[in-house]
Amino acid sequence: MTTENQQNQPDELLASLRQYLQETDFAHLTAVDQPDLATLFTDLSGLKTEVKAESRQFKATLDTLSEAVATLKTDNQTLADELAVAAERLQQRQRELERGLLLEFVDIYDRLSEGYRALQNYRPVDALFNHSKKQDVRFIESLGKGQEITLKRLEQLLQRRRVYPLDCVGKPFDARTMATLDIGQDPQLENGIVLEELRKGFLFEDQVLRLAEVKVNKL
Amino acid sequence: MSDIIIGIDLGTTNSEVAIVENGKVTVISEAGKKILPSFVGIDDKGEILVGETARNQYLIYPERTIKSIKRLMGQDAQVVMAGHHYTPQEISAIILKRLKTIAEQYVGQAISKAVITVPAYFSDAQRQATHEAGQIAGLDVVRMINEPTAAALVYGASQGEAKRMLVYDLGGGTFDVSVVNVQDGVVEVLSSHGDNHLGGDDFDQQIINHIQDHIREQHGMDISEHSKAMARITRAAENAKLVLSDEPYAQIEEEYLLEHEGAPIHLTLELARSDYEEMIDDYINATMDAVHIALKGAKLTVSDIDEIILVGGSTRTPCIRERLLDEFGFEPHGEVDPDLCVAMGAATQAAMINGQQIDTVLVDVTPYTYGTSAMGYLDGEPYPYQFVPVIHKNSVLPARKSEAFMTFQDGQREVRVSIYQGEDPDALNNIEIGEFMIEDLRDVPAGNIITLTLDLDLNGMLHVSAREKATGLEKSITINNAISRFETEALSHAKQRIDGLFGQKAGDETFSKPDSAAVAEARKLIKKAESLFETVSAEDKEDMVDLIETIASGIEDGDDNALQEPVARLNDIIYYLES
Repeated sequence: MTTENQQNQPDELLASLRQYLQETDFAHLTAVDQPDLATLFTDLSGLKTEVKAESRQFKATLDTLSEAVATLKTDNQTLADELAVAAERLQQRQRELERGLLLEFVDIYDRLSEGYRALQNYRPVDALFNHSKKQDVRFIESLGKGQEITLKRLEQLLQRRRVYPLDCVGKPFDARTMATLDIGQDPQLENGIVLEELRKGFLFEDQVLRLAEVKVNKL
Repeated sequence: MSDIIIGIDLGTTNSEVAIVENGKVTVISEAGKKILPSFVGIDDKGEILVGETARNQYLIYPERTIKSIKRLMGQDAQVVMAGHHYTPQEISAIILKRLKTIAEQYVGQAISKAVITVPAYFSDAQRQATHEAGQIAGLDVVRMINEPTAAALVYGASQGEAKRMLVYDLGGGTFDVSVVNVQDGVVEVLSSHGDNHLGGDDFDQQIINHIQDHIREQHGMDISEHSKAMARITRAAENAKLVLSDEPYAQIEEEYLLEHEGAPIHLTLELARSDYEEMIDDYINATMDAVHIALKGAKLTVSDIDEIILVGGSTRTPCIRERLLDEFGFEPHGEVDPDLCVAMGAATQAAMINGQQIDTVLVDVTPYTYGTSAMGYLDGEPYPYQFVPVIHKNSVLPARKSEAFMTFQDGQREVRVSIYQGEDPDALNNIEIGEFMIEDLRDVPAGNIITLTLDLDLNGMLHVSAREKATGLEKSITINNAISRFETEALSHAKQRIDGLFGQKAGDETFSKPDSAAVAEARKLIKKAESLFETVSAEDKEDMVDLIETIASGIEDGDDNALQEPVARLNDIIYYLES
């Protein structure tokens, strides 16, 4: 666009000058009105200098502007980068926060399930002359049922949060998801098979939220 | 840009890697963890494991897992891992390579240079072996520095001031104490002493034993055969240790720990800090003896030491700080994470070699000690206003600390709690910043326990609460600007004193007035004109010099109106010259 304009401009100017010269009647100009050539040339050269100076100034302004544009572009880029980093950091922070919270949930889950297990282990006294009271047995059974529901609720909550328990017992030991805390001996099982879960492990999406602590068979 | 140099703390139990970016030291974490256990292993499929995963399998597969290889560095020994022989250098190299990868993932480019720390007592052979380990790992070890030197660097040893520091390093399994001399930014280790098998793990074990004894007494059963219960009390013991760092009592509670004779057994046990400190007293004494041996080795006494630096996670135990304070008479520094301090120092050294700018590691700390007064002793005499510090100077903010106190009269129903700021053992010589009464206490014999909790946040707000332990009766106050208020007060006090020296009244200021806008503009213009001198013709220059002189005399006379005309003319000239 600009180059085209620049090319067109002199032609247009020439054309209008030609038109002006053709259409203007110079006859009425007297010798008195005729300008002194020397003054004319001086003025012209002055004009030329002025135009030059001005065009230089325009150029300088253009340069400054394009510099400013470049600066703005880099600034914009830097800010965009910083924003991306900040967003990533925020997400990471959020994830860490969530992890911490989930770990506390999982700890409560452990304790509740220990309580549930203890209830399940309850055996009513059933000797010849000594029986547990029927209503007591019913009460304890019902308590166990309630615990089971609560526990299930907590499991569902964890699942919704994409937390999944690791299944370890009877499987080969895996150093990435389990930590050996104790070893046992069971000749019927293969070496390196998990005998017992000392603490349940959990995955959070595809990462380990908490290592399973296990007792492993060592022959 | 020069190559990145990483700083590595290659420890016996744990290792870390750090770098300096934009003047700040960062310890690089992997999957949220900054600490890499110094374990190496091979899994079922023959793949190499480093760090936590290797530690996980240590108990079941000790034949293909190596730990604490640092203890073997420099020895002509070999370790067997999964049937193959390895030198200690090779095992260390595996750890270094892992750290190198962690750093490379973080910065997103290849790394080939490192500064590695070694214990001050390491012999030439041990240093040589560490150097080789670096080479095997593909790292050019540009320098090896002593661990205490690294710690001293983090605490500003490069700032030029000459001083002597004591570096007290108590980790999970090792203890070292070193005396270092700092002069002109150069750190020199004068002496070093330690115990290779003493650390925080021993403290945990004491608590575990205590819990086991308690269960034996209460329920008459030995718990050590129940691995699941043992795992739980091990964790509970470690937690209790952490709680006791800030509070006078820790509740150890584990529900459904075991079943005994058909009924579940719960563990509920309260551990007082004083009891815990008694349990670990022998260990602490051993470290204090080592401190004196190190001082003797450097031919120095306690009074020659200017600063103490705490390194290693176990230095969070309050009684260590207290013992050192008693012994040396000033507060030790522990504000930079003691677990990461050495790695940060290695990175600092790396940045110095690289000519990078490093800011001092800044942590928000309290510049004062806060505490209360109690019946006690001063200079061996009973004294009712002994100062009892609760939050010590240089503690990292936010800080929350509790202490336990006892009523000293039978049937004492109220207690006046005064909060002081200062370090003098006589509370009355410190500044009192608040007080309140706690009333309606139980009518019991002397010894009713009141816990006092001080909670100082980043904004300088100090929350104080006193609580009757048995009933939970609590009273609290909040003191605003606990930090800044007294800084300004101290400042104005100092200013008055200095002004007094000059025989001036406070507030009598004779500073020059700031420049007016016109003068400021004129000065700027003169500067601009002068910068053009080299490029202009002699005539223009003469004109400009004349105008500058006129303007300068106008500025001197303070006559803004006289400035207008010459400034405008000079502006014109510059405008034409520039266009």
